[in-house]
Amino acid sequence: MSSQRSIPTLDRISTLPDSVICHILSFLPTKQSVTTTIISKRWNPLWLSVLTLDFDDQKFSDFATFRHLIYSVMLARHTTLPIQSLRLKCGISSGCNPYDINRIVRAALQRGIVNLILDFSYTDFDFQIGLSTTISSVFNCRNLVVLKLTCLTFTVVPQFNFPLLKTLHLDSVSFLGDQNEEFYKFVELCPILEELQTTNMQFWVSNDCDNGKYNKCFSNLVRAKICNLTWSWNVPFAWICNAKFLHIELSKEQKVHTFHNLTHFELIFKSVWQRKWNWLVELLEHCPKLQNLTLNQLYGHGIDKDNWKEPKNVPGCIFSQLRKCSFIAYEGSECEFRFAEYILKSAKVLRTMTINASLVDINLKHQMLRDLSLCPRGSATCKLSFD
Amino acid sequence: MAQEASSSTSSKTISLKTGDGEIFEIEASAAKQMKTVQRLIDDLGDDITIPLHNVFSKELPKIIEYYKKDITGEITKDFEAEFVKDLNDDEVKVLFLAANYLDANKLFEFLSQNIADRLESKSVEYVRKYFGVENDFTPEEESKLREERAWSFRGIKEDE
Repeated sequence: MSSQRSIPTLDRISTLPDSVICHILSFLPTKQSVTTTIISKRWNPLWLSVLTLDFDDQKFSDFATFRHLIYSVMLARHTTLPIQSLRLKCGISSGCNPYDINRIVRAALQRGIVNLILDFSYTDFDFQIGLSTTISSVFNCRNLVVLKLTCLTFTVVPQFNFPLLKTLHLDSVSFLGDQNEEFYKFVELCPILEELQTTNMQFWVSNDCDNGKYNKCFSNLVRAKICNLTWSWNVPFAWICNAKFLHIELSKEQKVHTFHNLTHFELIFKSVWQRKWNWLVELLEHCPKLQNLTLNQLYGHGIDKDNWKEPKNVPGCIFSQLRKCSFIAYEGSECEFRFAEYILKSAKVLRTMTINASLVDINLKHQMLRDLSLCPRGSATCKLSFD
Repeated sequence: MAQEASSSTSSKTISLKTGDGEIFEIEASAAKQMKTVQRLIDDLGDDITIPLHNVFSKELPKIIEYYKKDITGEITKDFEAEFVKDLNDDEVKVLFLAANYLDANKLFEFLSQNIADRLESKSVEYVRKYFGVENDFTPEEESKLREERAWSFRGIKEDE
């Protein structure tokens, strides 16, 4: 029973139900989604059913026009219509002031928001301090499932409780207080968190991350990405030990925990420390299911204070799980080479070893490739790929 | 492609037959991600070739490629960018319609975002043409609506 595709795509697209059209509209900036009201009589009311609001002041030269857009949209929408998601990005337009932002965010939060994305990049310190009302409203909102905050400054960590939160992204969020005791309750207060991302965090957590206070872990965590650590912020390994996917920038040694579910691990080394190689082996011994390992800048921060020594026993994951291994910013140092050689010979199910050595001189690269391709391989199906 | 006798349930494959009569194999775990397919499997059993009247041999391989990556957890931003890079508007729409029909949520969400990206900052007429919609407003009705919502029409380009 073969049937031809007799109905043209355009006709099939035009018969899509309203809910699907609204879904596409929800990915557009609200300003544009409003303009679809003149497309046709059928499309006329659709933008009003879109439960996502998306405002970005980037294309507005002055804040007054931007503010007018937001208030007009809120007025045009029926007051009983909930707002499911709000994305608000502002700071570029001139005259942007925190007082209006506080009002807008508070009004939106009262309409049942579940997903909240706030981005105040390009705003200055004074502006961010003026947002304290916004911050309190956000942290009082227990319905949130997705929360993404960029560029905020807190003087005090507010009381919070996010029993439904699944995704949390914090970028350039600063806490100015000395002690932030509330933070060690983070895991209990976001019990079902599945995705955590932090970048450029600035706040003081007791350096003693290994004491009992930070022992709990996010039991539902699937994915974590920790970037641009500073000396004053450490995400305790204990918190993220249930993750399947990890991307971590490391500036100093962390106490090793067992990562029971970890299958994909990307480690970016921002500095060197004593015992780095031993620590790396210890870490791998605690990742029983690791299939995909990426090591970025493993060498490049001064002379290694430690030397690579082959461990007595091959870590379990290298032997029986590792399918893909990548080195990024490989420099061909003695230790790196020996480590790569060790993986090549010990990993019995390895399928790909990728070396990216873009910083290295082309002649040296040929030498490196030759040296590595001569190494014995424990896996018959292993392909060596060089960038 | 001959159907293999599957001994272990973990590597079980399902046969799908497109509207134009071609048969493709997918892993059972990928089939689970397409709710329409899973419902048909629940009704017809997993040994029968599942018929997909509204999906054709041009687009099904691309969909299978997407879900192959999904079950190994390897869908990254780079992969998604690469996936749609060389697709023209018509091809994206066809994939989108298929994802909608198959109730394949992850692909549906991704393609919704991609279609929105292609429409962003485009004129109203462009969006009309994209969705094959006839304008049934009179010029007077249209200009009245534009006036009512002047604050949203300010600053957008109308050509294209």
